[in-house]
Amino acid sequence: MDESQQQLNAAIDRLRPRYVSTMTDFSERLSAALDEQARTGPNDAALDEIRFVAHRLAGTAESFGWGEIGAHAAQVDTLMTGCDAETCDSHRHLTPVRKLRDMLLRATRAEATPRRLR
Amino acid sequence: MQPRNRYDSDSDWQPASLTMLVVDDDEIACELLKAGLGAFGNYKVESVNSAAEAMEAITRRTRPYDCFFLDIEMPGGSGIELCSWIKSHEQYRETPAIMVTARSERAFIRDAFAAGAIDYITKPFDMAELRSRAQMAERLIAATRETGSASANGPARQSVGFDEAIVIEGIPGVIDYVAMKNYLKQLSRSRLFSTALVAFRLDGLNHAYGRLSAREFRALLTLATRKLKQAIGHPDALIAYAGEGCFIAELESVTGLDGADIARKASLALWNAGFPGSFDCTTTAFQGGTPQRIGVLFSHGAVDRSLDVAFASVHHHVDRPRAIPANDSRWSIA
Repeated sequence: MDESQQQLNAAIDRLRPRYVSTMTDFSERLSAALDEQARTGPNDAALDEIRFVAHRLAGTAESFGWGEIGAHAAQVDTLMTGCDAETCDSHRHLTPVRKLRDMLLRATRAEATPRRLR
Repeated sequence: MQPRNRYDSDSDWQPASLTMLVVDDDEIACELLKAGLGAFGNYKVESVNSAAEAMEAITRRTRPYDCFFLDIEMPGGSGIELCSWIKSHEQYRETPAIMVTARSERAFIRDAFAAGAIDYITKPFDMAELRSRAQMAERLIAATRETGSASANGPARQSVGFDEAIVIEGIPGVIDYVAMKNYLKQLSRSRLFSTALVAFRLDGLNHAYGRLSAREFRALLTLATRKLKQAIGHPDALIAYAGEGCFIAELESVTGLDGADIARKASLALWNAGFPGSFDCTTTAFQGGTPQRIGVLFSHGAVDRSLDVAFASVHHHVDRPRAIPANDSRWSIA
């Protein structure tokens, strides 16, 4: 491994705890948006929130080793583009969002578990 | 012969000290870019989180930035608008701006290059990819500094090569040839194969090149580009000057693209603009993507490679392009 790669890996390791905390925040935001949709029906603010989270994860999750989350987030991002309160279909649009939330929960729980227990 | 680019690979390339500005509303993405760029070269990397902050930083700065990495989707102003704004400043006309975005739709890619981006990276980005783009930007900066000192009023042949892909400025939809290459590569990466290219060669330009000053030659190229763009007739078409009197235009595939018709319109537009009859216009048109017979060439994909084929087809000035390798199954003469 060359020096620049080592330098880069060290930087990613430094950023990783912050990213895990961001992922926790994102899973909570997705849960809140999903709860709101379930309570009040589709609404644009909650859909914007989902789109925002998916877009962010699609851009960065893979860089920290969560390629599957990043790829699924990219699918959600594409699916949600152009989706609004009128066109939102609970099964088609929100099932993948629930899956993304669950993936985030599993990943962040695994990070919180001491390594020897994994 | 292929056109000479401003960033042709150079084996003795060495990293230089450059100041770069990263603009992304995602702080983590900013940190990743800073870490990546910082690891690869002697770069001083600053970051801001919005287009407005970027404008402020650029305005405040006394020594211009050397390169920009811009996210597209940001609240309060997109990276594409920011790119246009940056490029509207004289000191940033030739400064490389590279888009870094999760967006891979054609409209975003096209608009980014039309706004003056030299390259496009999709998130999640690969660090090796980031490194190669930073090196490309560095070569462009070095080439710009080298040519910047040439006299515009001296003879063209003393300050600019005839084979050089000169950048034509001030016409919407006209981009750098390097950007055109990168644009087509990005379309390929994003599997957006439905693309048509039209290649032009103006035969009289070599004679004009020998007689005119660099400034006059550029003005002539600008006029020719304007007329060719009119002849193409598609408002979203992108066009670049490839050097050696050749121009390449790209447009999203359209049914019934007629190279001969475009050539006729181009010849007429050039004649009406006062170009002498010796400016013969050779044109070929072809289309990438799903197999379709349009114009002269027949392709099955690989949009980025089509640029070389387009250039070769007019460069050799033959009725049918001869530069296509006979054993390349992706291309065949229709």
